Amino acid sequence: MTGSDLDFDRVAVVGAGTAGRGITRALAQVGIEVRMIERTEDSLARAERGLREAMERDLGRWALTESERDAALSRIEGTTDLDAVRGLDVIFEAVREDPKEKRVLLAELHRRADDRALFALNTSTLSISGLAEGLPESRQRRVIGMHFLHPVTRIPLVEIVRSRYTDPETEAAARALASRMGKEVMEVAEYPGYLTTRLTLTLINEAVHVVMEGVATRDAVDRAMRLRMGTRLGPLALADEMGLDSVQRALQSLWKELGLSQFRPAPLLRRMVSEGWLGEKSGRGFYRYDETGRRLPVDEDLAEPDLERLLSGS
Amino acid sequence: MVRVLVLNSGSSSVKYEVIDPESTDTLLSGQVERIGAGGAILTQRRHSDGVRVKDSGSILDHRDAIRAILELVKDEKKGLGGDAIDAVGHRVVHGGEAFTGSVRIDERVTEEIRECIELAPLHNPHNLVGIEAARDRLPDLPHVAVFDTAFHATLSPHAFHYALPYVLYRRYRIRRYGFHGTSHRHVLARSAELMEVAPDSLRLISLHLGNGASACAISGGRSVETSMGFTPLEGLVMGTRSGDVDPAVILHVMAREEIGLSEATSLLNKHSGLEGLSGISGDMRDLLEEEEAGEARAALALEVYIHRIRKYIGAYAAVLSGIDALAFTGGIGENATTIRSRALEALEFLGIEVDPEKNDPLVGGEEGFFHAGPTALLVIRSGEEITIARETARVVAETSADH
Repeated sequence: MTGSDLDFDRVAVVGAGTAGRGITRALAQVGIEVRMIERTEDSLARAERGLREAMERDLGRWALTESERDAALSRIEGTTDLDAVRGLDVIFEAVREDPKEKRVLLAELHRRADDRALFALNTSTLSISGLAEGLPESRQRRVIGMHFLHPVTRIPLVEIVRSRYTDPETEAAARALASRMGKEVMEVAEYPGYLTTRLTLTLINEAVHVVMEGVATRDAVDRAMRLRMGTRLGPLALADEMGLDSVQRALQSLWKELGLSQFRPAPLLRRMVSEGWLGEKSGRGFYRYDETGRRLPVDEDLAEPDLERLLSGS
Repeated sequence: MVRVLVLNSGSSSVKYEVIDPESTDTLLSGQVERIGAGGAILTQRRHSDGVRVKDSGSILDHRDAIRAILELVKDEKKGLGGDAIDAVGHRVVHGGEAFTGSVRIDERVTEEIRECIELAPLHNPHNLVGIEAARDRLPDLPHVAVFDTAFHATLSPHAFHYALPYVLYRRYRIRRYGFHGTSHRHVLARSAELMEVAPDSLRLISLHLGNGASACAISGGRSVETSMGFTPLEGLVMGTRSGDVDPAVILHVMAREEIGLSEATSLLNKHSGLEGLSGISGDMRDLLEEEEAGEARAALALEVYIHRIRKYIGAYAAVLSGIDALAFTGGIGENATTIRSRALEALEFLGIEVDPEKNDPLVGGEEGFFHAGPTALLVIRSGEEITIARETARVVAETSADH
């Protein structure tokens, strides 16, 4: 059934930020037991809290039932011990989008993981081959990119990226895993931003420019693009959902890698991030959100009148 | 004596019974639950002497489950011994338009069941895995597929078409298929038996009220109309399924709440029905208790549930041009005496009148009549497994010449 002799029933996810938590939930909700590994007790506690809150929000939008939530939570075991990857066949990497940090982690994981273990790297801008460079050849073959899109539980797509070392068995296993998770696979070439990130970021950055330059209001931008593209969310609401800090980081990375000016983060975006307006997760971004993550209409409480006026166009 | 192993393969469980289709005695019943997880649970009971097995262990997939089941069924001490079974009957949820009756399984049949996966993505894949595993293990026995949809294959075009662009029917076979067919077929056979009349002489309304619920109008021995449609979501109010709803509501809610297809599907299937409306529970027993205790929302959910049933009774009485009998089956239909009597209140104009003295004792698997008026009212014990066993024996007898 699995198309591979790897054990998909118990896996590890290393790094429990937004992406790691999403991958963890997506796995647990299809019946896979997950060891979710974070660096410190504090960050682990934060991740576990975030996981519960995200599931509460999903309950509120009818995506889950209470018993499905409880079953999924019972399959997730949080730990700060990297040794927890021992004996597992599949290890997802989902730490910060920082090449140095990822390389150090991969070396650590390699020392602990079984020889047969597959490493699935979740990156949208970095080169899989580059990240795998320091590893021995036998391991390099077992490394593949699996780029999930936020929110992972809701977007039924994963971009699969082979490095120049990835062997066919590893790719087959990654495809089988994606299918178990109910995700459609797009195979993309190893190139910064791949497919979805590159197009999405271009759209978001231009949308921010349109608001900043006074061409149209926030609401007009989102409404128009929803109607134009037939999508659930406009680009600014989508940026809020992805997290404005993540959007900015990814833009900077693509700007550096591709040298294309459309990826230079719009000044308004930078300012919002520096103000701590990170989108849905901080309760405020282009829109405001209540504690359940529901988007609120703009109210009169203008803590930052200039920015608020810019966004609402009033 | 012929003995049939009836297999019902779900997503994470396989239920089974060994039945003698002639006497309709169940010799053995059991199930494997939590397939795929570490701690699968296997239970079995031999009916002749009540010998039970309860086991837990690692059962990774349906193949493993079938292997474990066959070992237990054939166990000399706790099962029925080595020659326990002569044929296997498989429950298959969706037979599409290809299958209008039960069939002996061969490669072509499994291929066609596979083609129906698009119509029943939640059920058919598991049914198919069960079939393939059982055929691998028992290659010398005849295997028969019995479809939930088959009994409704007799629906006329005016009953099975939706008033949607015809091209959708041509492209995707969008139409009413109906479900619970095996159960409604059994209700017809058993009602006729109890009434001592020929099945094809009855105008019968069959109400299957369980976790899922459906109504079926039967005339001339055939299903002429049924409440479930393209999927088991349409029709009566169910535990967590909405039943009938204006389709525009869904589109509106999806736009307002910015939810996608999977959330909307989950909303309709898992968060609606008695549970969604009451906000308390999808379980009939809980709701009856809460209503008794004065909970307004429990009472509301029950009233909506009952009102929907009454609407269908009226509609089906018109479809059938009158009714001779009305029968309840399923967990709620067999046990909730008050639901039965409330659903049938003030229907004397259809000849329907409940005799409370007869209604009240019909619980816990008791079958019988409970009418005081001219229209026969019955409770029938759910008999899907028995019908699958009978169908299997019939198909095997009819086809053994060709095989």
